[in-house]
Amino acid sequence: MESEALQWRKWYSEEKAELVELPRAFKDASLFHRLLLLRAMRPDRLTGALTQFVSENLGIEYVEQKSFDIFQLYAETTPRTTVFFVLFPGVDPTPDVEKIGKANGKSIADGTFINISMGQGQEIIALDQLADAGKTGKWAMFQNVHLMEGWLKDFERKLEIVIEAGVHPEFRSFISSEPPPLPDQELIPESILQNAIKIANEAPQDLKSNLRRAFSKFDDEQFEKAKSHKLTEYKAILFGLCMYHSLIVGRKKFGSQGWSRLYNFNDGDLTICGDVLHNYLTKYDKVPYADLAYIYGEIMYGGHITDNWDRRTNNTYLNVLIRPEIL
Amino acid sequence: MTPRTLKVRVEKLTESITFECFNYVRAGALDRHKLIIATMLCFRICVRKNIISAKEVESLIKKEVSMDEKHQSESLKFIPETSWGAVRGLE
Repeated sequence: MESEALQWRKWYSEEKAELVELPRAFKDASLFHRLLLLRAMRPDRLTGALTQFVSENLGIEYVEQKSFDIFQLYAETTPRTTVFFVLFPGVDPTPDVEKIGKANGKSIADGTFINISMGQGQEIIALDQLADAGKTGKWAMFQNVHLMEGWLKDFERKLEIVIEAGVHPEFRSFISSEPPPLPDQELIPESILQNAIKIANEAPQDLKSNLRRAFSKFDDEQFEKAKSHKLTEYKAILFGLCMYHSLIVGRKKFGSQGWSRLYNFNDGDLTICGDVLHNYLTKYDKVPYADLAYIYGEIMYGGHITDNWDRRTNNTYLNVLIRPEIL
Repeated sequence: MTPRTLKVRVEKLTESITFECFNYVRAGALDRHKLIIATMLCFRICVRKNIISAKEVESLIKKEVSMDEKHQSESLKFIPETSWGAVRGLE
């Protein structure tokens, strides 16, 4: 190494060290030995190198996943296998399930598809519906079961009985649940998890889908309301707000290079800022850009921020996005 | 079926079973765990095929750091001291 110190130095400071050739004496090192070197000197590039290693050895399809296909999922289900959806913020599997339900003649409208969102008072109803669906070949979906820890035991047993007691061939069951806050919390009975097809379909984290999701929080009603004051301004600033929201949420992806600390900016912040916007546009004739930026940056979103540099980053975004020129 | 076609067939079957199993597991895994699972599978297969040795995999996972104070020559000082121990550990 010493004899080629210069070349090593160059390699060491390379941005994508895993893609660059090694200095001469190590040129013939196998891919795996390169991993070892990266592990020692450039641990930051190891994820990239591992991706490369896996795709060379097993094939690219092991690291790149095709997007989720609900119809293929249906082909894998039977009356005896439940589908277990892991819920993530911004992802709702219901429309997908309704879609395959429709294709198989099961819909909520004619009562052949039962969709129950779990919560207080639903316990008995859900169990009865499950038993009925198993006999008559309906589809049953139980959402947010993580809210009903105690009830899940009854559910587990009931599902077993339904399946053992000669289940109708058209019966299908679906469960959705949020992942527990800590990995060692075991809320869901093991037998359910073991027998189910588990689907974790995370929302993509890129700017475009973040922006689309931010926009989806504002429905027609909001725009109707805006007609009573300043619709044009409302639309423009709302765009700025959503853009801002998706930018700062996206920054979280970059760890401590994005924000110095971990902040929980959430959809609640976004909708409340939308309400603030309504109020201000109603109250004042001239749009108070500076006030809006202050409320967003120092109070609403700013309330999460505890680091001065982060605050500055945050306010810079607002100063660029919430300004008269956005019209 | 000749031995050769049998061999090809077995290879194809192994490949497809491996991938389908992996895909089934992957569907239920969180994004941040997918690469870990793929890597573990890949290492296991490579060790079986004798492409890499189990001992080397071990040291990749554990990162052996050499404790003895072997000097780091001036020309290699650009590597931080903490990493240098790991480089020596590779020997």
